[in-house]
Amino acid sequence: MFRKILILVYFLTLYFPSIGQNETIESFWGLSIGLKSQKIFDHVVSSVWYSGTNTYLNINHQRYRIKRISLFEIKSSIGSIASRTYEPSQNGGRFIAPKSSFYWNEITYTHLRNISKLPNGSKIYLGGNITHLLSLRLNERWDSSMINYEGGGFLNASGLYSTEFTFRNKNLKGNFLLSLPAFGYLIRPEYVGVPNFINHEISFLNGFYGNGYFVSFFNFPRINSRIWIDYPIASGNRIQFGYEWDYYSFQNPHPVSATGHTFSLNFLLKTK
Amino acid sequence: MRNLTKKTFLFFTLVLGSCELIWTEKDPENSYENNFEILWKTMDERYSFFEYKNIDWDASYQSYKNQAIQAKNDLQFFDILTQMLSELQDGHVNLRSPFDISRFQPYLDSPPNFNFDILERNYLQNSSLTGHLLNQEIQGVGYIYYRSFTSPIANFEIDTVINRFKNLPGIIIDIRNNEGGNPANGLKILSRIISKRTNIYNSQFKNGPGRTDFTEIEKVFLDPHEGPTFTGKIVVLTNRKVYSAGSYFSAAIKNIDNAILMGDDTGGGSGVPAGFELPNGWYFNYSSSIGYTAQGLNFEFGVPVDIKVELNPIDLQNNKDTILETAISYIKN
Repeated sequence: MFRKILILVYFLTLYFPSIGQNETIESFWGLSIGLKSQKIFDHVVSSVWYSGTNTYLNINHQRYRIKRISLFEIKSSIGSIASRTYEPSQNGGRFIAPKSSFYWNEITYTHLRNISKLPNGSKIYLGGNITHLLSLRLNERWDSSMINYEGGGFLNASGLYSTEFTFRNKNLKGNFLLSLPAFGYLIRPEYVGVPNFINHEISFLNGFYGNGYFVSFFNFPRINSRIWIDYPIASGNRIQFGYEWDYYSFQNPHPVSATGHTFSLNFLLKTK
Repeated sequence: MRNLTKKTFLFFTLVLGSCELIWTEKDPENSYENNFEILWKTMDERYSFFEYKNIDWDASYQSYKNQAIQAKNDLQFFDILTQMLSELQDGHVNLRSPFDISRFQPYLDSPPNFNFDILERNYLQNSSLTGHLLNQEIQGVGYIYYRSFTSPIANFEIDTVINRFKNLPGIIIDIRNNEGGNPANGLKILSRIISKRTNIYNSQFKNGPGRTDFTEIEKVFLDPHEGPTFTGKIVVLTNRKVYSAGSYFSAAIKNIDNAILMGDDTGGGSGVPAGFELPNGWYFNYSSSIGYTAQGLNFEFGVPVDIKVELNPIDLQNNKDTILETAISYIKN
């Protein structure tokens, strides 16, 4: 098992990036804004789904070679999510309404290698990405289990389909990226969702990262897919119109599931 | 070619957008039966004191399920759930709806053993209010009244009070009617009255659905404060309304050499409350752990005092606090 994991790590992060070093480079810094619609079910603290649409921010760096693409992204969404029973008129008194603060962040590095060019000019890339995820919900109605989360680090396998087309005399590029987790480390609250604050010698961060699980696609099915269209503007800069769909689920110690739809507009400044 | 590309993208967009409809479940049905089932089952798997309190939770299911299903309205449904939860005899179990919050108040069966008016009018005329610590020297003894562990204590504040009383033979720490809050506030006081690393209490958390699924018992230690400390006698005054973090504080006192508990036993509350919510939007909390004194006593039903003293009715008529007077005598002698 360990050998298989090492081979996978080698191919996803070392082999593909090492091929073809002498290619022309085009790179961009990007700032993406948008809306992220999130839906979460976490049976540690609730029997119902929470959902909400919040602002989305993404700072990214994209590098394109003839045969390779690398993307580095810091993605965040901050706001609130609520259950369907949320009634604003009940809020503000002793009864705490089913609306929680929500913070989501993901840092991702994706590296892709062109493996095939189709007869119609479209390209297929394969590679992987390393990602650190944190999804955090805070609500006092959950008492001492008020901090609810999942997070961790994952190595994913990724594939990209890229094709060019024209629209109103502009040469556009359409991209479809799919990522699936190979393995990783997932952190979740303890069985009852309460950090061990009785023992003051356990630091918050140690407690936070203390309850973790080694995961793969089989016990942590996550699908992250993204469509974006490259639209060239002046001076080699670009705008990208994107849609991202994300789903994951984990069953231990209690089921948690999350889905997210993100619509974004990415402004890319050419730096090379 | 252009059409093919457009179709490809349209296909992916539609497929992705609808995928979650296939994989994600819907919210559970919001019926009385389902709300009852979820409440009962969650408690069944997560509540920490079934064994200790010898509670037949399956019998509660049989007793209350039909009543719950047949409830005529939310008020009646709430009352039935409250009755079922009251069998747990736990102040950390509360059902919360927009119109009512269920509570367990065992201290109502005991004498109050506390009258703040008598304290304020007859003992604390020259008191200082250092943060949330009401303090004064009374008859040559230091006195601190701390109303709630939800009120934060700054290091500077407790150091000021300790320095004020440093030349006195003892300090009385009065936490009567203190119903709990954050145990960390208690640690700030405790660290200033210990002289060595001390096992203050122990705990274990529920870690599985079985009645005996718990983590190992974990010992919790506290080191002495590096600044001002007090090495004289300590008397902590308690009554049955002292609960939760107040009981944790009292449990720690049991393992400190120069400190005793006086008054009435605390109300208990050794389980850390966790929360869960029902399909109808109501939510509840439940005890998710067990707390022990360093000597191994589960203090869910209270930390026993070292010297039992009750407010004397005749003293009350004369505006005297019997418990406070006894504590002063104990320190002076």
